[in-house]
Amino acid sequence: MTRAELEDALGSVLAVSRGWALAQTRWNAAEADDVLQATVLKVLDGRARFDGRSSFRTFVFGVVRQTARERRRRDLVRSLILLRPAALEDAAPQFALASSPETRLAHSRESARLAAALSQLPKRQREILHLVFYGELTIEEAAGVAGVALGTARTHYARGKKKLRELLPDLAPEGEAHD
Amino acid sequence: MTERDEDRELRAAFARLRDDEAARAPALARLLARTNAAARSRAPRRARLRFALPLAGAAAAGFAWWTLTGAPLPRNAGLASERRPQLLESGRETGPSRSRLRELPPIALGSLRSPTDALLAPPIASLPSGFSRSLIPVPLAPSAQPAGEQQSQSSTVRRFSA
Repeated sequence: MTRAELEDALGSVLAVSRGWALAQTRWNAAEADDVLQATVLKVLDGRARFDGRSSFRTFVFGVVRQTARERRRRDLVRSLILLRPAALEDAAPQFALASSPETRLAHSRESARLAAALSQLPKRQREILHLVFYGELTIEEAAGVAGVALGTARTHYARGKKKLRELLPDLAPEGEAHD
Repeated sequence: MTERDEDRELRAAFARLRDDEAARAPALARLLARTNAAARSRAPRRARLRFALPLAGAAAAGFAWWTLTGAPLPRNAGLASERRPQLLESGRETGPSRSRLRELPPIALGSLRSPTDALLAPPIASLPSGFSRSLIPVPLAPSAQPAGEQQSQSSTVRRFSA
């Protein structure tokens, strides 16, 4: 792919990739934008090469996940060296508790509840549900991005959905969301 | 509610979340032009390192000097060498310096008991012929010993033999 084609393709998946970056950074917008920027630079520089074995969206999601993992690892090493407390993977959900008032206001109430409920799920379940429902991937594609077997992804999908329904029993139907 | 209905609800909820986030998604050009927050946070750290690194380097170099040579740093070398006993090539320790020796009262040759005493002796201008301060151990007077033992005996031997 030429650079212009790559930029067009990246532009088309940028918004949904940002959501995936948010999910990878526990809804920390600044970190998510950093991850997304690093991802875009990797793809445009050729450090991450798209070989057409999957859809472009799946490929970008994989790069986002890898980039977020690298950042987490680097931050952990730095925190160990500098003896600072690290932000652990399963720390308290950031979206509901740590986001700024402006951010909370900007989200609709339902979106905030959904994001907070997602943050309470185990990491694998959260990833699979996010990839399938938010990223609109198939379970098979989501398994490839998350790096798990298809059967495992199906299990996480079913369990995550069940738990999400328990956390959000009164999830509003589509037509009543913005009234 | 069937599973299909549940899925539809979840998809709708995620779609609303996606729409909320999409409004804040940066354009590609803006994303490429922005400065990474990590780079922003590195800037003050680099400024601190600019001062801290030379200091740490100097401290490390000083420690390496002290460890490898066993000697004090040049600035303190003069003070420390006065307290520290020096070694001769033969491995013996020297006593006070020559300037210190000149301040000592004159010692009679007869009171010399060891080669070290000879070194401690002040310069004597009127040594008898055949005596030299460079001879260690100090030779005895030729008249006091038999001819064959003159070079091998010290004043200590003379004391016991007397």
